[in-house]
Amino acid sequence: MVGSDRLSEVMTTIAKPLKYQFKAMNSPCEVQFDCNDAALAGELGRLAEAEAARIETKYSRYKEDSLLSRVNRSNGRPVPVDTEMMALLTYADNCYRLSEGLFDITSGVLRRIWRFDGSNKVPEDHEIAALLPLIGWDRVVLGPDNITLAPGMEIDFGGLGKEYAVDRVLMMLAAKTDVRILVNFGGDLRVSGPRNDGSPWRISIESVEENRKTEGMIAISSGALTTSGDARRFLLRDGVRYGHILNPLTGRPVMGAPRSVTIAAPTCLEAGIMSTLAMAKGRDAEEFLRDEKLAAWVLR
Amino acid sequence: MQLSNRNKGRIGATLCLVTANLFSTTGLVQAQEVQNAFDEPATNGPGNIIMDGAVMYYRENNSRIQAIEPMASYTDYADNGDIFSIKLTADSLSGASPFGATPWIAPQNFLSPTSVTISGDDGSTGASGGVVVTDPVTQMKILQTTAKANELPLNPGFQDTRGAANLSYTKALASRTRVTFNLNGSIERDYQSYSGGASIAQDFNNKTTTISVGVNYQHDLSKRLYGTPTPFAVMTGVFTDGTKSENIVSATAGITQVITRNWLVQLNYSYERATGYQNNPYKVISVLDPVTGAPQRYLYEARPDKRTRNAVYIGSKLAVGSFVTNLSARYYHDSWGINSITANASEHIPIGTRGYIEPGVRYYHQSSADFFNYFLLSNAALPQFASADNRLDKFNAITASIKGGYMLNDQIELYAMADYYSQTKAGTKGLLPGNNGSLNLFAGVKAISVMTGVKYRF
Amino acid sequence: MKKIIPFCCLAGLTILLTACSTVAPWERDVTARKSMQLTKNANFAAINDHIYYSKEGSTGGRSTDGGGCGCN
Repeated sequence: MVGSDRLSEVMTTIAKPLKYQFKAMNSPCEVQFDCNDAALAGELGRLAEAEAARIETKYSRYKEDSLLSRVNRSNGRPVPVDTEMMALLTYADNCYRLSEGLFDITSGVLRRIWRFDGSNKVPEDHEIAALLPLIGWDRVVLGPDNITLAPGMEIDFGGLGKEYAVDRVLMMLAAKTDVRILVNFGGDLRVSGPRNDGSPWRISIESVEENRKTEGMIAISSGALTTSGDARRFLLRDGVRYGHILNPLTGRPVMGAPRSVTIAAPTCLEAGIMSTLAMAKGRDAEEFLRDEKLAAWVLR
Repeated sequence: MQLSNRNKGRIGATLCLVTANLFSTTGLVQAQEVQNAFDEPATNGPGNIIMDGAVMYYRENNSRIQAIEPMASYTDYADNGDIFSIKLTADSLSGASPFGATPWIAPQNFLSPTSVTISGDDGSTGASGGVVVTDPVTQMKILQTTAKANELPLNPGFQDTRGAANLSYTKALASRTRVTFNLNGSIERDYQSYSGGASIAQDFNNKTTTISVGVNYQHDLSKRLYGTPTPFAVMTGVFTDGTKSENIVSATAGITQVITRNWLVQLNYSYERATGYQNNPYKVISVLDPVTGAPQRYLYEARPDKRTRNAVYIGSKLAVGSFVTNLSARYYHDSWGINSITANASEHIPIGTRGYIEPGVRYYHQSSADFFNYFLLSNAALPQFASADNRLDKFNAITASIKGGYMLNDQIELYAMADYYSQTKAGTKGLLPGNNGSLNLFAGVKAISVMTGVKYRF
Repeated sequence: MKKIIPFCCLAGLTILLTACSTVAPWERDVTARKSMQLTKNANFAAINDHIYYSKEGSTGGRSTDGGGCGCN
């Protein structure tokens, strides 16, 4: 499953917060500081950029010498990993079990056959069947300080890397300053508290419809917000629209998924995982969100 | 896609816990509402150095023992999981202590050797209470002490200072295996004890189970002042026996198990075998007239030179909100015939956001050693072993205690403890022969102890 | 005989304890708290051990950490 590709635009009220912007993890990133101290904003912004770069260097599938890529090249041999990566792999393992297989970081290989470019090229059954044996977190062996993937299998942190980065950056910066901050990496965002005057940060949700710019505003005073969405990445064949959320258990897209799910939760990781899970429930997304008593917005 | 009923509606709550776990593992603590400072994760993990200093004051009733004991420790939790720790303790004891003789309706004189050299002759005051006399036959200096009528005889002017050091090193062999080595030494004027041990601890089941096994070897040297008496020797005279030694080998095995998220249980078994000198060289047993109960003479005690001990311990910690209920019990049995049962209960109660108070109670009951006797009779043959040491008597003990701690800030913890300890006779009261039912033979103790200290983490 | 009973109890309880563990790794947060540590304060434990060792006839049950004293 891949994450959001849309930017929620942060609208500001009276005094504009200072913004520090950069690019990381293939997304536009920014940290907003509700203060006038440009030097502080610059210093903390650079820290945020450095931490985002550190996470990307270590866990990006696209970087050949990242720890993650080393694992993907291991061809069946155990690869030793450090405390942080082991904690993330353990987290992925917990999410796999909690979601009963719907969240699976080994499912990335499906991108080899599913290309959501708006065309009608839907893979054949035999192509899907050929890839299924290479998917399945239960096939991965997690040792006390190493990981072993069967040859041909791959892992990627697409469903948690950016959210983890937002949480880490926010927690690191919040430990260093009382200034109210907002961290937004490509639409996955989290705030350290309400703005200085006590008012919430205002976030606008981008519309899924062509002719509307925004679907509305969300006011957030604490915690995180993430959006999983369907709008531009799909396949259309024989009048059937295939959304880009894939089910790792079947290798096929989830049918009846909402166009977009936005979730608010205390941390970005929780919001991200839950919005991914909600999308994966397809037609049952609203029921799932109701059962979990989540603050969520669903667009169909 | 059907939701299984087991997880229905609870995925978010579990995910919250899992996410918090991820952040604490990678070194970032959530800035969330923590109700009490003692709910925060313990700081006995890598990257911490802890220095701890405390002082304890102990005092028994009836002018018996008083002690003051300062201690200091330094522990370094290295980033790689290794732990190095050193602790120094000193204690200074003074006061009087029962030495095994029974009380009598008239004053009793006790003679023991002394090396005090004074210019004067008879009638001079000895260094530690009592009178120094010269034996007319051997010309030896002898200390004569007198116990008042109807009172438990006490060894007066007892004074001793002790210093001890403990060193410990834990090596993390793998993320779930730790091996620990420790070395200890304790030195006082008339006694030295040295020991070394090793143990290994292994985690299972995602660290919810820990099994540990350890062994220890201890070597003790008893260098009684003025020589070690032969068992059953009469109380007086000079003794030529010098240093006596004892070897103790012990092993423990234990398992700690997290039963539910809020409940931790521990089970331990320990075994010990001691061989060598185990008498208390200062303690005697009175030999009494079987009809009147009058003391005839006093003999130094005699204990076996082998002792095997077994103990089983179970402990439980249950958290309810920020409160923790602690319960434990121990069953003990040894080859000298002592069986004991110990039960402990205490409640950790959070106070405000930074402190806690922990009232507790301990109940203890032990049976007497096979060779324990308050006295021997002059018309009976000497048994193989005999001791009147009140530690080997049959008694109950209750401790009422209160502990507390206060986190001054993230790094400094202040703590204090106060205990009241009371021993009472269990079973049939000891009775002197003759018409002496009013004399109390039980030499158990009542004591209070208080301690205060500070822990600093950086 | 007296030694076998404690052994059996210990073995039985051990098996029972490990068998009924259903705690997931992320549920170790409570037992990680300061208030739930087995030795919350090492000095409290050491002082108590010392007093009971000098005044009573039993020892052991918790650890083999050595160091005797002449308070025999």
